[in-house]
Order: sequence, then C-alpha cells, then structure tokens
Amino acid sequence: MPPSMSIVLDLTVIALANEPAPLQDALQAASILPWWAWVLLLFLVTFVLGVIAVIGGVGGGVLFVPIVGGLFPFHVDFVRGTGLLIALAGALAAGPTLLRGGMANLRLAMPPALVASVAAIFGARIGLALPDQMVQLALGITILCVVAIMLISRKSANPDVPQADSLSAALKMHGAYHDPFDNREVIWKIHRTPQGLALFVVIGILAGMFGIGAGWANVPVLNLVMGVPLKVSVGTSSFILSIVDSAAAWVYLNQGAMLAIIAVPSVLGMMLGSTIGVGFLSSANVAVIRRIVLGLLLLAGVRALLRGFGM
Amino acid sequence: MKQHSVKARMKAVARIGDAVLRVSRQAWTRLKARARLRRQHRAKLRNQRLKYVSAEQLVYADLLEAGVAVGRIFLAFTFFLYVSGIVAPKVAFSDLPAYWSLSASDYLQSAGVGIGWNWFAQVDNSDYTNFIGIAFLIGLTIFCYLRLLQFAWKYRDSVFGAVVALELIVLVFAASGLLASSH
Repeated sequence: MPPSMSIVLDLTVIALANEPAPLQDALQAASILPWWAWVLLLFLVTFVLGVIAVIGGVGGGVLFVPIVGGLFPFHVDFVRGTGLLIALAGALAAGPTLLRGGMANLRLAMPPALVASVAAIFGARIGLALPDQMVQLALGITILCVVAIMLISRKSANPDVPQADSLSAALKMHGAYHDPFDNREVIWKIHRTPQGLALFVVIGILAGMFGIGAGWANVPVLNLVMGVPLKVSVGTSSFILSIVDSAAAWVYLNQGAMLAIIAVPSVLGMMLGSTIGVGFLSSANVAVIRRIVLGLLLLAGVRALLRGFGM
Repeated sequence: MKQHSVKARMKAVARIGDAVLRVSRQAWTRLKARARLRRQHRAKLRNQRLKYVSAEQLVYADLLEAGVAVGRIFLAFTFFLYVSGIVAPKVAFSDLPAYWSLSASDYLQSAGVGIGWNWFAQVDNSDYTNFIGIAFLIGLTIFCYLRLLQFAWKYRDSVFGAVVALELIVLVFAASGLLASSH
C-alpha cells in the first residue's frame, strides 16, 4: 500500500474510533485503490458489459451481479440492489418502443408481472436476510443454471397453440402484431397459463433474491410453456421486468441496500454501453459475443460458488 | 434633388420591408404546413398502431417515456451535484471504501440512517439527493398503473381493473417501507 494511502487510512481510523465495529473492520480491509478509481473502473466495466449484453442478447443485471460482485470490493447487498436498478432502467427505457410497436403486450404482461412481483418482494426479503456465503453459493448455482438454460433452450418463432385456455381467455391474454420482416399479420393466443404463472413465482423469487433481472427465464416460459410468439415473448419479458424489478427494488432501497456512488455510474455506464452496442449489432459476430457472454457467466458463476464455499 | 433621393431611399426601404414580410409569411406558412403534415403523420401512425395496440397500451407508453426522460435528467443532475462537491454528502468520499464493503444493515447503522423512508430525511446530503431520481424511476410503474385504472373504469372491465388494482396494492406496499426491518 502506498504510504500516502496508509496515512489517509490511519487518519480515518482515528477519526472514526467511536464508530461501530463492522466499520472499523472494513477500514482495516479498505482497498488499495482510491475511491474514484473504483468508480471509474465500475463505469468502464459496466460500459463494456452494456455493449456485450445488448449484442449477446442478455439483460445487464444477469452479467452485472456475478461479475461486479466477484471483481469489486462492494458488498453483495449493494451489488444486488444496483443489479436490479440496471435491469429496471434498461426495461423502462425499452418499454415505450416495445409497447407502441406491439412487441410487448400489456394484457399478456400484467398477470405474470403480478405474481412475479409478489414473489420478488419475498425473494428480496429472503436474499437480504440470508448470510453472505449462502447468497454467494445460491447465486453461483443460479448463474450456472442460467448458462445451462441459455445453452439448451430452443426457441420457437411462432409456437402452435391449438386452443387458448380458459384463464388466458378470461384475462384477454391474446393479441396480434404486424411482422415487418415477413410483412404479415400474426394473430396469437396462449395456453398453459396456470403452469406459466407458477413458473413466474419461481422467476420472481430469483429476481428479487439476486437482483439479476430475469429475461433469461421470462422468454423461455412465455415462448415454450405459454406459446407466445418469440418476438412478443422477448418484448413482453422486458416489460414484465420493469414491473417485477420495481417491486423488488423498493425493498432494496428501503433496506439501505443502494449506494448512489455504485448505482448511478453503473446505470449510466450500462445505458451508454447498450446504446453503443446497438450500433455494433449489425456488424458484430453475435455467435462469438454470445460465447463470450456464456464464458463470462460461467467464470462468474464458478467464482461465486467458490466464494460460497469460503474459498 | 435631395428630396428625390430621400423618397427613393424610403421606397427602397419599403420594398425591402415588403420582401422581408413576404418571405417571413411564406416561411411561416411552410412551417405551419410541415407541422400539419407531422401531426397528420403521427395521427396516421397512431391509428395504424391502434389496429394492433390498445389505447391504454399507447397511453402507458407515452407516460413511461416522459417519466424515464424526467428520471434520467434527475439522476444525472443529482449525481453531478454529488460528485462535483457542490452539496456535501452524508458519507465523505474518502470514507466510501470502508462503507461500501459493509452489509446494508451495517452500513445503515454506521452511517446513522434508519430503514424504510428514513433516507428521505437525509436528502439535503448529496449522496441521498440521488435517491430522489432513483425512487422516481422505481416508482414510475405506480403512476402508469394509476392511469390504467381510469381505462378499467371507462371500459367497465372488472377483470382488468382487479389485476391493475392488485398490482397497485403490491407496488404501494413494497414502496411503503413496511417490509423494511433491521436484521
């Protein structure tokens, strides 16, 4: 540690001699980099994550939480709170375009969002109450499951739904959109609504517990289980995130698990990265970027798992 | 001779004035025509969209777009106030590395901030001023859902109204801070 930094830390320790024990312990372990260097590094990392997230077709939150949680000295509580905020900010920004274009459907999104937001509140409460090591362990397992889902799940552009179930009919969960690629009108309806809603309870708990957003799980459930066309599944998934993450984010905010110095640069970096990433979308090799994303998630998942085991 | 020159100048000025007036009128007419065309184009787009998208969905999108724009400005402005040092923060920048490695509950205890909406009492500190923008973005969905209630009433759609009302209850409950507890 450089002498100047050591002096600053010594002075801070003296100044805060009457502070509670956890703060003194944290001061002893304070990082060798100055605060602004961490913030700058955080902005750069979230910017890069924003670029590769948008090209790799994943949400920012699922990359942010395991990677920043593993590389930065921030407590996992603040990382999860910020992860939710990143996922929320991205979903809110994309919402208007998706809703206007018919790629997100309000009537389709509302019932899953309702059950998932209740579950996300419980998930957030559970996540904040669990010991750190257990959170890391569960996060590692979840991230490795995300990688598995991304590797094995197949998508169906327009699933065959012979007949809408009675619950989806009562909730008017059907619609139509104009597909400019094929220049045709796609009319869709859904089935297996109760099973889909049950899965959204699990998704909500995971989203709230780890602050990782849940687009990776929303899309397969909407598309493969409920029979929603792929484009509407992707758009509606993002819209559902904006509701579910807002419910969980309140819990994190009210529990003190948000720090402006972590949250704002991360949100700004991710937004800027996503904006620039969209520009690379047509020229970038999406398959390679997707492999990089999977590799990063795999490493982050294993690292979280090892931390969970105390290694 | 001199009188003649003054008259000629006045005529020239009048001609220039007429020309300026004419050009201004033409420009104004063109601007009005363009604005009318833009309005018509927007209305056409909206009508086309209404074929596939419900009116409440479009209203939700408009409200969300405006809210996100306001939230971003808020977030950027309050963060500038924070990092520029114009307004003093609750936790000094030099102490941040010690605080951000604490758990949320230890952080609140060390910083002397309570759980729930107690952060609102700290908004005169620049680190907590940022929370206004954050809370605004998190709370945006509540405003959008409140607008949806009007549509449920207008359509007399009890199922739609029930789903909207239940989600509102969940979000307001989460926002209330009643769930916050010290571990």
